[in-house]
Amino acid sequence: MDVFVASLFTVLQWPTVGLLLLGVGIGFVVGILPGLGGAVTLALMLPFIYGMDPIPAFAFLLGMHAVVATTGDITSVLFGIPGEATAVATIFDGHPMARRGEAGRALGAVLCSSLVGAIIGAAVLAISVPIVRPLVLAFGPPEFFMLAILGITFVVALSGGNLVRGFLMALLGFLVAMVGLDPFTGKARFAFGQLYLWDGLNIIPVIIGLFALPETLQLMSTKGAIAQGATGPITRVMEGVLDTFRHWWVTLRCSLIGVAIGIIPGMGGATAQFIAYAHAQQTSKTPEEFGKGSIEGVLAAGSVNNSKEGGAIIPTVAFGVPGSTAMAILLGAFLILGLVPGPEMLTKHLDVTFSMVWIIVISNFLAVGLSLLLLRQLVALTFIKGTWLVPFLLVLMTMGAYTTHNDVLDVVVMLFFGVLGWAAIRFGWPRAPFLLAFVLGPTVERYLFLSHQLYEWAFLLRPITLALIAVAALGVGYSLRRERADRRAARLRKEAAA
Amino acid sequence: MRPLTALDGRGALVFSVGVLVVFAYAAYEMNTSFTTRARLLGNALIVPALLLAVTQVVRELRRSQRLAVPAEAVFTRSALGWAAVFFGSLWALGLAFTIPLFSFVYLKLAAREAWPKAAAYAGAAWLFIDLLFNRLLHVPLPGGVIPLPGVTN
Repeated sequence: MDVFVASLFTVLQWPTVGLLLLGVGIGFVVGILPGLGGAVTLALMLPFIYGMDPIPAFAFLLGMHAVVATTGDITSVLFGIPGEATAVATIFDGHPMARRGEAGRALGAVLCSSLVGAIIGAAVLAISVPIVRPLVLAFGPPEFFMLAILGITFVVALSGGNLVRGFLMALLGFLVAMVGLDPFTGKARFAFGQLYLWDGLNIIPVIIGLFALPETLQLMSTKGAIAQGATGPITRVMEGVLDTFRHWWVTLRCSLIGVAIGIIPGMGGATAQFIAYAHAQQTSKTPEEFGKGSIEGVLAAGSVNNSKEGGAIIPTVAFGVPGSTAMAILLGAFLILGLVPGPEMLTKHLDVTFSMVWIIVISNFLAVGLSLLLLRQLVALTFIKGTWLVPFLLVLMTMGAYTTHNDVLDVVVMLFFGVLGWAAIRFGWPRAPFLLAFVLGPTVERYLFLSHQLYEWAFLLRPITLALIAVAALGVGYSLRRERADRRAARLRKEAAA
Repeated sequence: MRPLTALDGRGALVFSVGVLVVFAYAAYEMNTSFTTRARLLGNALIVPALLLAVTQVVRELRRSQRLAVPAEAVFTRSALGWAAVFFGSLWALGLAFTIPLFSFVYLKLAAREAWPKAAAYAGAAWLFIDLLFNRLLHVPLPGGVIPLPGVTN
């Protein structure tokens, strides 16, 4: 408890609080601008944490990430354009409300429910620490190895798309993570005689290339302003805020759904919002209003959006298994800061873990407060042309990659992975499994080596390892069934059309 | 602003074959020049990787329909051209010159902004980079192959 309270004061100290404000400010704008994703911005900001202490660094990065979903809802309500992929469900009822002149009420509801969701997510994160700690401490290298594999399997199996391509991307990620000197024997692997590759590939140019470069090219291709047309008057905001508490049961249930889904690797925010939305509709007394401007639909989408972050941090911090692209980038931040996720985060670095809880809460209070105060000015922001962001983003990407080693070859690596990222999007190969495997590669290799040293291949027969293998197999089995069902449905549709 | 479509036909197959070649090379490299210890992880992943890559190539060969290109992967030639101009200028002139030059030219020609707006943006971009990276973070900006005064090479 002392550590929990002390970590609040650490977050409120200078310069941590200043970096938190800066992060919140960036996340605030990024959330509103649909051309720019939260994960991409996280990748772009990663180089700036070099030399920082862990808590200020997380205040900056997590503060930014925690509010992206909050402000992403604003454009969903006003223009029917999601600021973030996780704010799509907000459109279903938020935008119809805006069209019938209730934009203020919808915004009040979605912002307030986002805040409640964030607080519930952070509370679950705080409460889970003493529960998860004995479990984490009981795990050895074989269990951690299998957990990492399970995390990647879930990301491949549950994130939709083709299983074969997903697994191939994960395996490619592991292969790329092997580039450089072998940590145990000092033997150069896949270095092609290049001294530059002896250190392995740094996470920053890889992430920027894979995610930020294709997104910037997309922005260059689409050009125009993010929003067009008038929004109408924004009134009755407080009524929406009160709606959150009038329908507290929906807000609470959907927040808890968000936390639960956030914990499962691979499910992600995009899935969570639809599950929570469907649940709210099924349990509503007026399900027929959903999709036409139901306040319950707005509350469900708003609350689930932010609560999932608290849930997603639990496996990342406790087991080193990130559940989403953004969490994988955050795991990269751990490595840059010299922190090893796992038992140490729940013992030696408990203050860092608890500071994350406070960062989520404070940043969301700030974001929601500012959004409610500056709603009209924020609307004006969405009329910025995409082309105005392009030179700035190109420079940020280049400098982000270059400052990794102050070497132009890092820019070349960024370009190489930019091409890979583009090809992956174009041909339907998911990028998240690649990133997860690349980030987890060294950890997986270390745990595999230790497990093999300790038990030979018999480590695969340990009870918890076997249980984790069974869960992974279930995930793959479920995904295979779904893939087959989708194919059958597509064939039937085709036959019906013919 | 015609979208790129040249790779639509057999691009997916080429990409899948490329992935198979990468894994095949990795398998060869691991078995010819890695120690047993250095290829522990590689050995664990290379067999499933090769099997899956072959499966994927076969699937692409049997695919009867063209892939629907997702909207987020459709880049115009103009966008790719401007990106090439930026990185080409970075290689030739270095970042300090590229930032204001590219910002101005891009906003003037691609975004069709007025001269004063484009010039103000270019100046602000240069100032931002100079203040943040040069003066505050003391990061030397990458120079180009063409020697220019005041640029770190």
